[in-house]
Amino acid sequence: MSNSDSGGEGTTFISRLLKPASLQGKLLVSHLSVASLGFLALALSFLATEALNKTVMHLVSESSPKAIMATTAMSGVQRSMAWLRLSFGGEMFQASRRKAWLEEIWPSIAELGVLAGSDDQPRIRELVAMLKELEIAQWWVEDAVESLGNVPAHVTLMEEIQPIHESMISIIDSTLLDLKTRRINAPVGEILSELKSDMQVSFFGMHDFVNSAEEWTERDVLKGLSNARAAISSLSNSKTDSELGETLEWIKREFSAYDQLMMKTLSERKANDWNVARWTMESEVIPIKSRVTQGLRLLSAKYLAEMKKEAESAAFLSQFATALIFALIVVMVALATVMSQRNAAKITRPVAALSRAAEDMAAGRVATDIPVASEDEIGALTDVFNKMRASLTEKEAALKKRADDLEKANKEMESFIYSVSHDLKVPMITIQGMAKLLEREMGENLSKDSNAYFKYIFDASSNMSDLLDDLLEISRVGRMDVNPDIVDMNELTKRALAEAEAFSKGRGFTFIAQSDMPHVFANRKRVYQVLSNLTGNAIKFMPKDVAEPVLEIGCRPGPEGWWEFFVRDNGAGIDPKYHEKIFTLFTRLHGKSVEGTGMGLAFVRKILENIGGTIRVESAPGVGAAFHFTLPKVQEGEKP
Amino acid sequence: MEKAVRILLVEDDPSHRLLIRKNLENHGVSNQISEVEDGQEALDYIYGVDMYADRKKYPMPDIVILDIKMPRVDGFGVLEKLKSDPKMKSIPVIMLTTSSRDEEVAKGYKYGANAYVTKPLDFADFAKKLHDLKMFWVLTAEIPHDAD
Repeated sequence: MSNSDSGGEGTTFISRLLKPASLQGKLLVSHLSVASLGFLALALSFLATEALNKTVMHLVSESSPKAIMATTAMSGVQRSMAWLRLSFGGEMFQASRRKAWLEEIWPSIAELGVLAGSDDQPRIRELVAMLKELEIAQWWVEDAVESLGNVPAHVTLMEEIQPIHESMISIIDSTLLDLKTRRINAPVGEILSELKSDMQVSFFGMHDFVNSAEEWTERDVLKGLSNARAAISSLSNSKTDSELGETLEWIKREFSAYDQLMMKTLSERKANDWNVARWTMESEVIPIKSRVTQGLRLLSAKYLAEMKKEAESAAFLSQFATALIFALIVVMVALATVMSQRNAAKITRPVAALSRAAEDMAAGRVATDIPVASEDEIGALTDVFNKMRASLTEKEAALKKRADDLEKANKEMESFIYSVSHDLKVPMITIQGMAKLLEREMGENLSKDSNAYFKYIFDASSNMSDLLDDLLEISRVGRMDVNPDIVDMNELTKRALAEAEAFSKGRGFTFIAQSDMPHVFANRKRVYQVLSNLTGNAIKFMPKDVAEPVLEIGCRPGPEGWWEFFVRDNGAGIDPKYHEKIFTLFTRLHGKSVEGTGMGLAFVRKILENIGGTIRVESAPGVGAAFHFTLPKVQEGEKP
Repeated sequence: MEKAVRILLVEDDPSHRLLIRKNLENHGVSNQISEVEDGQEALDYIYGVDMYADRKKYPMPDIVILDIKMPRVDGFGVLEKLKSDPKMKSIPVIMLTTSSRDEEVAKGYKYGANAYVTKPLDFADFAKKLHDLKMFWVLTAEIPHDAD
């Protein structure tokens, strides 16, 4: 048992997970890995914003409230003081003052106590103590304001004494008038007048006293009052009727109140702390308030500073988080691009390799096996491909062997034909030679018939000789003899036509050769044989009744890389049904009337086919024939 | 005075030898024609080997008519030997070939053959070749001054 087995299970599972065996799996892994980068970025940015959050939360829930509480408490204190001042003027402001304590100051301080750190607690306890003092002092002041002793003498004078004084004076005046009118009770009238003037003295005297608190002004008040009192007591003793008596009673009551008020006012004005509330305010409330506000201000400043710091750090964190997220986005996008490129490449590279190999194979370059890089569908395809390649290579080898065998057989055949035709020629020569000798020695003595017989012998053996020669030539075309050359077709055509002219002597042929024919790249001898054969045929097969026989040789561009030449005559033409047949071996369309072995066109075709060229005929009975054949163009780089 | 032109005919087929001889005779070419059957014999003759040492009986030829296909040593063998030997290369050699289209012609020329004629030997053609080689004296039996 090998060690690899025990670890094998686990590792293959993981490796199967990370390196899936299918394209789908690979793509999935690729996408997931890129997505996970995104998640990672999100997670990191989440962490950054979390930190930011925490800071802001702390800011919002602690630092800020602390500062707010401190300032609220301070503003509450200020407000309470304001109401206190105002409450000098009336009760409605007292409620507002108390409200400031209940709703602003105490709650804020309580909250502050909860929120503040341990090192602030002593200060807060101090503040609480001071606030308590302040509250009590304010309450004192409020109380004092309400108490009888505090109402400013001036206000008493104006608001309480003066109305009584005025109403009394008015009643007295009207009573005096009435008495005057009714001409009764003159003594009452006198007393009332005295009373009036005494009251006025006291009133105006009080006026002065309230304003200046001078001794002599007080004397006036007192004098006026005592005189007025005397007048009142005289009035009580007077005899009056009921109506007047009522009026006098009213006057007495009113004066009593007036008197009390005046006396009170006097004492008020004279007291040291004639404005207890104000004094309490100035001597106690305000100092305490100052200390309290000082303490609160310090705390407030401290918390504001803390808040500012935290806000700054929050701002920094926010910027940092933004920058971090931005940087993360850039990095992650770059990473994702790289990763996905790599993953894509992992898939496309084998595909590209495979497609290149397929191209090579299509072009015939069946080189080596492609390594199977992956276990997925591409790998399977590569495998199949390699099998195909191997099979192709095999087949190619088999084909090559067959071709080699065929070539060998061909060569054997050619050498066979060669030696056969050679060997056959030898006895032929004997036959021909001996026949000639015989004719020579016996010719004169022979009958016309016998001479004819000799002619037959000559013709037949000559024919046989030609046949053997042609056979020999055809057999040799397969073996490409000498290297091809750059051949000047103008020159070759000239020679061929010269030969044709000699061959056609007396027939009156017109020979036309195109003047600017190109060069071709082929075996000179073979090209000449083609021309020679075609021109020879044209002459041989020209009917006797064509008055002006024409033979034309020309050229025009052929398929890519080839020139197309033609040899055209105005002879009898060839029926289209023979256009293919004439190129086959030993086929002749004419009887013995025209000499020839029937091998010429087969020979020509073999030559052309051997170099990849073609030959075809365009012809119809009565319109002559044009044989078109292709020869290779001279390519750049081919040297003569 | 007529001097006999000495021809060495190298040809293995007896009927062909007869034909050629007859052809030449019929046209009045001197009948100093020596015949050998193969290349080796031809070389022996020219180099005077063995029985051919007797130059009276077997005179040095003025011209060699040489067939190609022969046993032992073939025409090219003889040709090569003669033409590479400074002493012998001046001897004119006319090749016999079965086909004027034959590639053997080219090969022959390469080895140094002076001319070729096709078999069966057409006398007119033969005469023309001689003429081309300026060897008309073979026919007229007059030896030019620098012949030897």
